[in-house]
Amino acid sequence: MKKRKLSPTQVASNYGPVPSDPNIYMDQSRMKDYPEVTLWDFLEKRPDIPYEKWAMDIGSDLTTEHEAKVLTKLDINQQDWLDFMTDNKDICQKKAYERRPYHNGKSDLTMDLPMKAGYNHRNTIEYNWGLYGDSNKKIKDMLGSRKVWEDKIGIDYDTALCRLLAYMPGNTLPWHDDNLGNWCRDNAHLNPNMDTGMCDLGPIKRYLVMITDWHWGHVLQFQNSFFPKWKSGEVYDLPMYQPHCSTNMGIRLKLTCSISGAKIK
Amino acid sequence: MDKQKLFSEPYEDLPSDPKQLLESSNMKDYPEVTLEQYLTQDYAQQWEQYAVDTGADLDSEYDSKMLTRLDINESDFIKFMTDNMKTCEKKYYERTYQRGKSELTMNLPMKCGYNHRNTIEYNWGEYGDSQEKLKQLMGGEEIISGRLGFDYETSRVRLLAYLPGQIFPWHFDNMGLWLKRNQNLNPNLDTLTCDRGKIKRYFVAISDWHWGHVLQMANSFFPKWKSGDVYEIPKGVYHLSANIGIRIKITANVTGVVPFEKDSFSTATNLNAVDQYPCPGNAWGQTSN
Repeated sequence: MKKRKLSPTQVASNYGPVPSDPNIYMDQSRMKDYPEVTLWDFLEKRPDIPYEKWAMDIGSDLTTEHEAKVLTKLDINQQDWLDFMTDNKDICQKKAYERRPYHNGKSDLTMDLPMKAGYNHRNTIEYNWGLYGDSNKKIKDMLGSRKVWEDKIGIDYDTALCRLLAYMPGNTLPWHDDNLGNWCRDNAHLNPNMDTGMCDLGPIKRYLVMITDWHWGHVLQFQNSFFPKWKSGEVYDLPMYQPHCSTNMGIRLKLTCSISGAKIK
Repeated sequence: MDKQKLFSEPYEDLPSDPKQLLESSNMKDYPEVTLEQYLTQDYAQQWEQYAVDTGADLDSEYDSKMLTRLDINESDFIKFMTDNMKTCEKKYYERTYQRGKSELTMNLPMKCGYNHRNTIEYNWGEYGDSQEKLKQLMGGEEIISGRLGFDYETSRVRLLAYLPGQIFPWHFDNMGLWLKRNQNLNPNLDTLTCDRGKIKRYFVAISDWHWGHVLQMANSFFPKWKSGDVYEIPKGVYHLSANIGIRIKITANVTGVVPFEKDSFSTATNLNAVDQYPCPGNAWGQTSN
């Protein structure tokens, strides 16, 4: 991977507080009012040029490959997760891929680069749990007991931040890198350093737990490689600050769960 | 399932004005399908069942091999697109002139969440003089017939442009428009043959692969193509594609009949003759890294 021109701290410095109402993201969406970017707009204004420059500034290239390997496998009951989603609609964060109130720094979102390139409120919808109410605690427990966390997951249970992500067919999470801004804000007492990826407890990690089996059109491109056809329960490491994108361009729902936290094992 | 029977009814004629496709769109007025609706309705199961009934599975892999590489100038195609806005067919992934029993005629994509902001395709080849212009851009008879082996007169070129965020969902090619045009050749959708030879579709990359350019064929992802690379879209195999990246994705396909005696690519004999060259960057002003 090429050396970054923009450090992680520059990209996502000091996330602000999370708004109390999860409905605010769609109610106050700028994306939903942004007009369609037509082909003629795209060819004339070339919004891809600054977007690509930003991507290269965070270290993207066309050569780095990533070989995804299963770290461990958890015992996941998919129906439990579907029930959780249905039972916890009120604490779901539904959002499009645009700047959120707590975002800072020089990122694709703070510069509105995806929106200008054609991403919109009908092709980037994410339903997400973990930031509101008791959803983080519930998700942690669905992933496993403390013993499972200690023996298999190896991320500090108490400070971990889990996010359950549901992508319906037709929705994409565009090219980006993970900066764990929410986790760093919530765990400032651990002195997280985004540039070194370390905190007082150890390396800061993001793992991805597959909730549903891979199915047609479920895509996770990490660097310049496509993830293999995953199975429910598989856990992968998403190495920090490396660009990737994902989509559900298929038929079945795509459910994944990310874990952000300090690696203690 | 017998595809010949499923698609025995020929496609309707295209509307004379390409704008009618959007003006009469059902998709543009269809309300957002929420997660709750998706979970409580069975349209995804219906679509999946249809796909399985028509040959999709979760096991088959497809090892794509480049057939040849054409000398493509991407900027010529960009200029063509800009100069020919009036003959552009902009459409969504919904039923328009299709007939038969397909995911489109059953409106399944729309009911599962595909919409007028995530399935936009800009394409040329059906309206005005775009077909003849595209054939010339591809290299004319020398390339289409001489190099690729197609019967020139009945071959059809389509140019497809996908902006970031746009998806061409899970489907197989039923060559509906080509079959409609060439009924005199007694085409058979199940065997993909006709009186003159094999009916084939080739994929021609116009722009280089870039982040988020995805083509899944059966259960395999296509390799990172280069402008000019030609691949076969295999008979009846389910596939999908998307641009979930940053740069525009431009591809073309050539559909037609390859006389049995000219089917030189069935053994891909010229694979080794293709030079591998580094990504030259985007021909219209972008620097590749």
